[in-house]
Amino acid sequence: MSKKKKEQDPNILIEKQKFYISEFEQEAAWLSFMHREGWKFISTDGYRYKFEKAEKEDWCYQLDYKENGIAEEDYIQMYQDYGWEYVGQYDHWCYFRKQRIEGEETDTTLFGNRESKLELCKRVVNGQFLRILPTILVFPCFVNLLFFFHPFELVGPVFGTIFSIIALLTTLLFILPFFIYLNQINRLNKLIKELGGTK
Amino acid sequence: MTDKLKRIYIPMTETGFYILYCLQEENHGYNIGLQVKQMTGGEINISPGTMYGTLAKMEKDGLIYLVKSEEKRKFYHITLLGYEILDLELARIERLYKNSKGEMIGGTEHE
Repeated sequence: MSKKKKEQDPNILIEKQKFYISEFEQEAAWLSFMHREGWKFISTDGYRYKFEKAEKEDWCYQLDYKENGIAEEDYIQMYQDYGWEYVGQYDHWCYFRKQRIEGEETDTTLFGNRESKLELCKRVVNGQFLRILPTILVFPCFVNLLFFFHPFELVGPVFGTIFSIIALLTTLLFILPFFIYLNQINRLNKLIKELGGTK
Repeated sequence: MTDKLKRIYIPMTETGFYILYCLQEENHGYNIGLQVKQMTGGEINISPGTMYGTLAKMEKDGLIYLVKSEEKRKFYHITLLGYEILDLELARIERLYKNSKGEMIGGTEHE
C-alpha cells in the first residue's frame, strides 16, 4: 500500500528499467535524458529508478565502478573538486552528475581517454568475476549431492523426491547467475574490443 | 626494480607521466590535474576517473606514497622507486627526441 502511495506522489517517479553492466553509458545517457525531462535521479536498486520532480535542466550523468565497493571520502571529494556531484551508490556503481552550462565548455566524462575507459571495463570484468567465484566453488558440491549421494536409498521415495527437487532447484539457483555473468562478460569484452584493447 | 614494473610503466602513458612528474612535489589529485593543464597549455586534461585510478595504482605499485590526508584530500609524493621509473622514462623520451632530430646515441655514426 505504502509503495503505491509513494508512486502516486506527483513529485516522485519510479521507473522500471534494466541495464546490463556493459550498458553503463546507456544508463548514464538515460539519466541525463530524464533530467532534461524534469526528473532528477535520486536512487536505484538496480531495477527501479527513483526520480523527483525538478527543473528541466541539462545535467550530465556518469557512472564509475568501484572495485572495493566503497565510495571513500577522498574519492567523493576528488570528483567534487572536478565539479561532479555525488548522487549515490548502488552495488559497486557510483553515480555522479554535473550541470552543463550553456556557452561554457564542460568536461562531461569521468574517463577522458581510451585507456582509462578500458581500465574501467577491465575493473568491471574482474569485479564481476570475484563475485561469481563462490558460485563456481560451491556448484560442484551440489552436483555431488545430486549424483553421488543416493537420496532415495537413504531416506525413502517421498523424502528422496523432495530432497532431489530441492537439490535441483538450488543447483539451478546457482547456475543461473553464472550464465548471466557469462553473458555480461561477453558484452563487456565486446566493448573492450571496440575500444581497441585486448583482454 | 622488478622487470614487471618496468613492463607496466615503460613506456608511460602521457597522463601517467605527467602525474608522476608533478608528484616530485607533494600534491593532491585535482591540483595535479590543474598543474598539468597549465604546464601543457590546456592540451592535457586529466579526467577524475583517470586521475583517481592512476594515483591508486601508482600507490599500490609503490611509485608514490600517501603523505597526508587533509580536508578529505589525499596528498601524494613520489618514492625512490617512482624516481627510478621517471628517470628511465625521461631517458627514453630524450633518446626519442635526439633520434627524431637525426642525432645518434652514444656519439658513433653508422658506417
